[in-house]
Amino acid sequence: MTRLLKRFIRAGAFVTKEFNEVRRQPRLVLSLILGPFLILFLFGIGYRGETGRLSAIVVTPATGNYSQNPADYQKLVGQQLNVLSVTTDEKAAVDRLKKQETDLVVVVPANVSKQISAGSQARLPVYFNEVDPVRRDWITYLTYLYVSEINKQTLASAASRGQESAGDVRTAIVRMRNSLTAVEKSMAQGQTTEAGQQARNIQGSSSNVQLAVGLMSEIMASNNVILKPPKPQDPNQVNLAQGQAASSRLSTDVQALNDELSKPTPDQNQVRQRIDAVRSDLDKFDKLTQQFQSINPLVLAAPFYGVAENKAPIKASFTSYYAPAVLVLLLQHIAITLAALSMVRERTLGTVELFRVSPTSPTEILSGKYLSFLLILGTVAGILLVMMSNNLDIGGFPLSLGVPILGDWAVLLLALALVIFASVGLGFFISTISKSESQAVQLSMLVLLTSVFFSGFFLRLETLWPPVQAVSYALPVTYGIQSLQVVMLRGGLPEPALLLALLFLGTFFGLLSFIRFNREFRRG
Amino acid sequence: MAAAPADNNMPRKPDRETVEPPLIPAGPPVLEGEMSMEGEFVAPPSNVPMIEVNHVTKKIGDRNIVEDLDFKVVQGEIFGFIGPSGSGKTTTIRLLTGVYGPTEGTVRVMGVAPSHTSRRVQERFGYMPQLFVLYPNLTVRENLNFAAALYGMNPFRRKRRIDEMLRFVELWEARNRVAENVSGGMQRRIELAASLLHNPPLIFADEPTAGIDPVLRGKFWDEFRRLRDEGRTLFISTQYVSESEYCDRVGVIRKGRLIALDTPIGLRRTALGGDVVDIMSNDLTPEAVATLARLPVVKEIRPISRNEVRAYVQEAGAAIPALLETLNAGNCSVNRIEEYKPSFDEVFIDLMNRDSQARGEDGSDDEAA
Repeated sequence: MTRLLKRFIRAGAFVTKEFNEVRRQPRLVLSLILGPFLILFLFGIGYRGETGRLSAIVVTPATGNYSQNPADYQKLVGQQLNVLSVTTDEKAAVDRLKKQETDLVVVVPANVSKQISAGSQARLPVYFNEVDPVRRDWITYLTYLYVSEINKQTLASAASRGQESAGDVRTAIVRMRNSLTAVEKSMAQGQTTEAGQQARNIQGSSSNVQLAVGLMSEIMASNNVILKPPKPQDPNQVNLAQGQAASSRLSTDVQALNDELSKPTPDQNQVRQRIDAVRSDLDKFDKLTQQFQSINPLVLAAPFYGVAENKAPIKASFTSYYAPAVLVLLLQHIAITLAALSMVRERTLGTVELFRVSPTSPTEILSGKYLSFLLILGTVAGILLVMMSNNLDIGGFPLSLGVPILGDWAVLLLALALVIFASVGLGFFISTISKSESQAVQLSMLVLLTSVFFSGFFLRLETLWPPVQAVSYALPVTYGIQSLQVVMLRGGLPEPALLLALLFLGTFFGLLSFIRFNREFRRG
Repeated sequence: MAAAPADNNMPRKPDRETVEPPLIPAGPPVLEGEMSMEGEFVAPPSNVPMIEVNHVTKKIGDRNIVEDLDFKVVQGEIFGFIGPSGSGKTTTIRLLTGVYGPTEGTVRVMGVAPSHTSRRVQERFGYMPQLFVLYPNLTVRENLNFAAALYGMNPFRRKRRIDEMLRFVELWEARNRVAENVSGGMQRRIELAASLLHNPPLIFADEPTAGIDPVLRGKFWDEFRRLRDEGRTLFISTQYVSESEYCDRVGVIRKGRLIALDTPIGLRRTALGGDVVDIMSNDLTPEAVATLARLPVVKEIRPISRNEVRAYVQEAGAAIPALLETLNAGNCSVNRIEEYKPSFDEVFIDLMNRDSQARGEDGSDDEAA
C-alpha cells in the first residue's frame, strides 16, 4: 500500500511541477487560452466567405456600334465583376493583364450573328493571369457561368422575338377563320365555286400556320425528355399534345374540305362538318399561340431552376463551421508542443539524470506528465468552449463567437479528452526522436502543417488520393474534427470508430514513447 | 553523532571539534536496510561498508572509461574522489548510483547492487549532480517540493522537512524566489538541500564546489563535515586538489584508473616516499651530508642550496632528533630543521607524474585544478 501510495506521490510530483511551470509563465497561459480564442474571434469577424470581386477590361470589336461606356457592361455582369474599362485594343488590354492591372480581359466576338447563322458557335475569349489554382478554377467556373448566362439571355431574346412573330401566326389564323366564314356564306348562297376558291386560300395559309405552330410546340416541349407535358390547369388551355395533334390534323381537315367543295354537288352537311373540324383546329392553334406568347421568354430559355433545401439542424456560419476544427487543431498543436518540449527540456536540463538515480520510474514520469497535460489542456479546452459558445457581449460588442453546441457536453468533453490524450502521446513520441528543443519545435510545426493539409480542415479527405489519406488517419486532429463537428453542429454522437481511433492513437504513441524513453532511461 | 572513522590511523581534522551544532534537525541518520515508521533509516551493522567496488571496469564502446576500480567506503567518512577532467569521476558516481552497470566487476551500495530497479537502495542515497538540474522557472521551495515528491515523501511530512532544509542550507529568505533568479552558489545549495531532503545516510556529490567562489566552497565543506559528523557517508568528487585535506580518505583517479587511495597525510607520504625534513646550516659540509645519508632513518638526501638539504625520512617525528644528534656530533650548528609539508597540489602533480611515467606518457593532458 505504501509503495502504491509512493507511486502516486511520485507521479503527482510531475502534475504539480507542470502546473507550477505553466503558472509561472503568464505569457504561456495567455497564449494557451487567449491565443486560440483571439484566432477564432478574428476569424469570426474577419472571414466573409466571399471571393474578391474580379476586375475586367471589355474588348469590343472595332467595327459595329458597341458601347464604350463601362457602366453599360457593368449592368450586364452584376457585382461579381468590376468593369474597369472598355477598349477596342485587345493587345493593350492583354498587356495590362500581364502586368496584373486587371484580373480578366473579356473579348466580345465580332460578327456574332454571322457565325451563328453559319451554324458555328461564337467564340467568347476570356483571358486571365492567375497562378493560384483555387482562384484559377474559380475564374474558369465564373467564365462558364457568364457564358451560360449569355446563352440563356440570347435564347430568351430569340424566344421573345419568336413570340413577337407569333403575332403573324395569329393574323394568319384570323385570316383562315374569315375564309371559313366566307366559305360558309358562299355555300349558304349556293355559290359553290366561290366557296371552293375560299377553301383553296385556307389551304395556302394552313401550311405556314402549321409550320409555325409546330415550331412553337417544339420549343415549348423541348424538355419532354425529362418531363411529361403537364395537363393544363386552365380548361381553356391547350396542352402540347393536343396542339401537336391539331397541327398534324389541320392539313388533312383542310384537304378534306377542299375535296368536298371540289365535288360537282358538295354535301352541305359534310362541308359544315369539315369547316367545324378546321375551325376547331384553328381554335387550338390560336390558344397555343396565345400560350406561347404569354410565356416569359426566360422560362423558354431556361425552363428549370434549382431549389436547394438544407436539412441540417442549423444554418452554420463560417465561424461556427470552422470553430470545432480550429479548436481541435490548436489543442493538438499545443498538446504536441508542450509534451515534446517538456520531455526534451528534462533531457537538456539534466533532470533525467536526477530521475535515473531517484526511485522514480519512467512509468511514473510519463503517467504524471500525461495526467498534468490532460488537466492543463482540458482546462484550456473548457474555457475556450465556454468563450466560444456563450453569447457574451458588452454594449453590443460580442465577446464570444456564439458557436452552437447542439450535442451532449459529456460526449464533447470525452472527444476532447481523447484528442488531448492522442496528441500528448504524439508529442511524447516526437520528444523521443528529438535531440534538442529546436528539433522538437520543428517537428511540431511539421505536424501542424501536415494537419492543415491532410486533416480535412480545409480540404475534404475525399479529395485526397486514397494512399495519401493514410497520413490523415495517422493524425488525431482528423478524428477530432469529425467528432466535434458531429457533436457541436449536428447534435449527434460521433461514430464510435472515431473515438476508438483516438484511443488507439494515444495508446500507440504512448507505448512507443514509453518503450523509447524506458530504453533511454535504463541505458548504461 | 559522529561516526567512527574508517581507518584507525586516519587523523581527525583539527576543526572537527569546532564544528557548529548541526543545523539539520532530523538527527543522525540511521543506516539499516529498512525504513522506520517515521521514514528514518535504521543503521546497518558497522562492519558493512557503505560502498564496495570490486575490480570494476566500465566500457563505453571499445573504450575503457574506468578500469579495475577497487575500493571501499565505510560509514561516516568523507571519501574524496579526485582526478583531472575526464578522468572518470562522473562515470564512477554513475556506476555507484546505478545509472551505469559495470562491464566487469561488482558494485555494492549498502550491501546490494544499485540499479534502476533497486528503488529501496535508491531511496537511501542522495545525489547532488555536477550542475543545477532542477527547474529554473520554479521557486526554490517548489523545486524542493518536487525533489521530495520524487522520493515519495508524503505531502504532510514534506512541508516540515523542506522548511528544515531551507534553513539548513540558508535559503529560507530566498525560498519564494524563482531559481533562475538566484545566484550560482544558491543554486548549488538548492541541489544540496534536494539531495538531503529524504534524510539519506549516503550522499553522492559530483563536483559540488566546481565553479563557485572559495568562500562558498569553504561553507560547503563545513556543511559536508557536519553531515559526516552526523554519521552520514559522503562520496565527493572534485577537481580541486586542495580539497583533499577536508576528506577522511582520498582516491586519486587518472585516466580511469585509481592511482592512489589513502588518507590525505598518507597520500602525501605516498607521493614523497615518506616524510620530508628540511635542514639549514652554515656549517654543512659534504662529509656532514654523507654522514646524514648513512643514518638508517634517512632514505635520501637532496641538496637544495649550499647551506640547505632536504632529507627524505620514514617518519619525521622520529627522524628529526636523530638528524640533530648527528649534526651536533659533527660540530654543525643547525640554523633550522623542520618538517616540510608540500601542498596537495604538489602531491597531486607528483602522483600524476609518477603514474604518467609508469605508463610511459608525458602527462601533458592532465587538467586538474
